[in-house]
Amino acid sequence: MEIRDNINIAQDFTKRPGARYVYEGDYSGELFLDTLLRPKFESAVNNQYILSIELDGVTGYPSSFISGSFGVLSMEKTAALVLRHINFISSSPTKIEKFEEEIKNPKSRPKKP
Amino acid sequence: MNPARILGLIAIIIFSALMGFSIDNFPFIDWKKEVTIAEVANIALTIGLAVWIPYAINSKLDKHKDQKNEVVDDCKNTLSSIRQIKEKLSACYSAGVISPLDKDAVNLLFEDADNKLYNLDVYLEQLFGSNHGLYYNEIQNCYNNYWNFVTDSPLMGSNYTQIDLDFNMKQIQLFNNLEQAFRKAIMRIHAS
Repeated sequence: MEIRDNINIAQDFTKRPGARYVYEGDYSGELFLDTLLRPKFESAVNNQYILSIELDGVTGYPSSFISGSFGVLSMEKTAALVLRHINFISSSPTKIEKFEEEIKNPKSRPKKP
Repeated sequence: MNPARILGLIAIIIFSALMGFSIDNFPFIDWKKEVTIAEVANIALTIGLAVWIPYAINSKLDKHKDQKNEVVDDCKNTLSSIRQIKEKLSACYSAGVISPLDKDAVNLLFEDADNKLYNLDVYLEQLFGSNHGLYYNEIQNCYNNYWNFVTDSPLMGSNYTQIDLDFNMKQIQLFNNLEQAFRKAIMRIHAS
């Protein structure tokens, strides 16, 4: 499979990723999942290509953001499917490990409005 | 050339002549004047090995010790970087307020710590090969626990503007676990 689409989180979403849920504040993982990640991921799966995700350029990734976006996507679609259709790009291997670890072992959190 | 040096040279020449004369005329030993190339080579090899072996061993031990000291310094530097996060959060707790800029600072410090930990793991792998996990895994687990707790909700939520006592106590406890993991790794590195 080839890479045919990409998301640059700093350019396409925010340089300051926030908490897990929309009700917790700006630029949450849930907002990222609903507006960008899930639609592009589903398109990648339906059309059999890889979605590239550029992680650099932000102030840092809170665990709540990763869990609320990639963790939830993994619980919805399975870790194997997510890892097959997403390719992370970063100058920091540790950062990529954090995302892949969340996808492999997603932490579920109760949603309290 | 000063007079003292000239006198010294004369003394050495006289001493050498006396030594040569004494050895040539030593009454109890019959010196065998003929030596073969193999005997000379044998003596040279023996002296060479006697000098080279301790030098090579010491040199290797010193090199390994230097590398271990460098990795230990890296451990200490990485821990110092992560300590800034604990101190930042404790300062925010004492001030009774945490701003979005404080949260940015915490995230940036974690970014820095991520890179330092990665480099530390690379150095440990260079030094200990496939056994590097013995020194690194506990640090990584404790660090992940600390990062997971600190940057989880509620702290990263926009509405969270004041660090409560429970949060501060928990983050200090998790940092202390991480500090212990670093200390254990340093002791293991020194003992290796």
